Amino acid sequence: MDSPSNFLTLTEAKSKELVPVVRGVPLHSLHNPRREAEVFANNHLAHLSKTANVLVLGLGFGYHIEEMSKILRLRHKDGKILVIEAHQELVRLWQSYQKNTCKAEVISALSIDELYANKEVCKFLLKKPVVIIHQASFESAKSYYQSFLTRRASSHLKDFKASNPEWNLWIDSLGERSLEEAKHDPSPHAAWLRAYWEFKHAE
Amino acid sequence: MLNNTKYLHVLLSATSAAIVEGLDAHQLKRKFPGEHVALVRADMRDEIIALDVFHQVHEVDIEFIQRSAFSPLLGDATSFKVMWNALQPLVQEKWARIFNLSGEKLETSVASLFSGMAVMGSHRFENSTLCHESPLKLASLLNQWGMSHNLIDQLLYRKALNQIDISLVETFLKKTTEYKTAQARGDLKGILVGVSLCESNPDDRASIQFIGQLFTLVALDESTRETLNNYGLTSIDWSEANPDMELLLDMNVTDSSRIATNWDRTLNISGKDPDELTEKIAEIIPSNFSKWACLSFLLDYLGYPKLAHASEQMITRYDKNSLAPFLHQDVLALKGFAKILLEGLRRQGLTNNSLLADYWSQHPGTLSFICAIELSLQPSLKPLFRHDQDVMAIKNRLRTLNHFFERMHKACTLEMPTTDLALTL
Repeated sequence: MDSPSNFLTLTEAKSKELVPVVRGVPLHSLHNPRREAEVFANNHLAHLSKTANVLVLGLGFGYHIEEMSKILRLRHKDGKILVIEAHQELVRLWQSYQKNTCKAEVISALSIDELYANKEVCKFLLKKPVVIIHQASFESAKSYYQSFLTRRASSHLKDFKASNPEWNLWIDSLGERSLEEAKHDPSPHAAWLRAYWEFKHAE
Repeated sequence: MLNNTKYLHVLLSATSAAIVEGLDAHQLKRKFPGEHVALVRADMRDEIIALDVFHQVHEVDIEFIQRSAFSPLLGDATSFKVMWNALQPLVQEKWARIFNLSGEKLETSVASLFSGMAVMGSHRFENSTLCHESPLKLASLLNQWGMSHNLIDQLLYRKALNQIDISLVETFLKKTTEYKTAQARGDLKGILVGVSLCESNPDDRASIQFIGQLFTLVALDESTRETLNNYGLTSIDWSEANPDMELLLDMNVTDSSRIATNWDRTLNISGKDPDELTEKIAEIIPSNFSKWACLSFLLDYLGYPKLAHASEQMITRYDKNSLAPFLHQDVLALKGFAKILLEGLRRQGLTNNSLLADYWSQHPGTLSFICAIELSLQPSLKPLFRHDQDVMAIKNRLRTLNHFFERMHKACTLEMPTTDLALTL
């Protein structure tokens, strides 16, 4: 496993901006990261003009986020950028060195399940945002981002786990039963499933 | 000043804000002193807070639950967790009362998750909203205590789902005409009462099915003419009868080969003194008499005193000359008894035994009538009043009844219901 010192370092580009380096690979241009970010944002101009909600995979050191934010502010009244970053250490570094002038929301979680447990992330995803990938960041944690992108909703009751051990045992005992079958179970726990069913189908 | 009593109001329907506005907040807080907490849908949070009725407002994001449930990316598991996280802290609380003011399916299912003394439903009265116990909660309690009865289940459940158009039932009760006979024929002795349904239309029929299930529906056509004549229902005008007309038959038949019982003797009630009948009342009330009484109880409990009265009058139709006034009086006395009983239960530090014993000596007929009503709730129980020592049996029965009322009373909480008969439940 990488130690923090050699896994993530910071270096200075020729234009004097800081550039994070993950496992020896710089996440931005070592000549002029701001110029690179402008080009990156302009390349996504069509998407940014069409959609107010943008999901960015990869924080880097935030240069591309700032540039995209400028475009978004011009095109939309209530545009929002949500950034998913695989490396929590990088987020901490970015928060220490850079000002979040663009007001983007940056989320970092240890696992994809944790990420999908975040209601704000889920709410944002339901708005069908445009997904923009920061390639260098994506490559640095490919499996993380890929599992985020390829996730599908679970259809098993065993995934209805909650904070109550008794509930979890009961859910396990249901085996392969469907939600509709399980809500008629005589157990008092089934009241939760019945309530959920009503929520799901309420007008 | 707030005390530590907490009340939860489940307000998840789109009409919740209007319901809360209809409440007399001052009256509510005076009647239920303590902290009032509301569970509302996220999009109505601000609206409910602005009404300034509740001390705390918790929200559950129904829109998000629904959207994520049907999302191929998020799905049921994600959606369920959001619901769990929103409700679990409230489930862990002990609520003095849970208000389910709209009585909608969603609210009712959510209210069932919380632990509390009782679930309150709404009952609109004139321009304000009063509260009464949820019929569904009552049905579930009756079921839990083995006191369930098909009529109660049906009526309360339909009431809970707002599926009874009670006005049609009222019309039906007013329209009915009755035919009655009591006769001995061959090896059978029976009493038979028919109630005509000829004026009901298909819509009415759907609404009165729950009454019809107590009886047997017979079409008035040639195939039934002979049978009904044999049973002595000769007063039907067959020239006006047609296959669309139906008769509700309420029949109690006994085998005449049995040794003559009190039932046989008391069936022939003409010329007998009502006092003489009093001691035998439990035997002469066939199950369906008390079914009408039950219906009367329930209708009154559900907030339809006029309809309950009409139902009581159905009892009187069985035999207006002798049995009816007696039974009618007994229903009134029963209300009085229930009142005394519950007042006794409310009085702390006093035993109820002397009260009940006094009442027993003064109103034996009333008590036996209660027993008969309870018997109809539990048909498997044997009738009482068979021997002299049945007095003891009745007293034991009363103890059970006492517990029954007490449990009902506790479960349904302690404020005074709006009608006399509601006191008994």
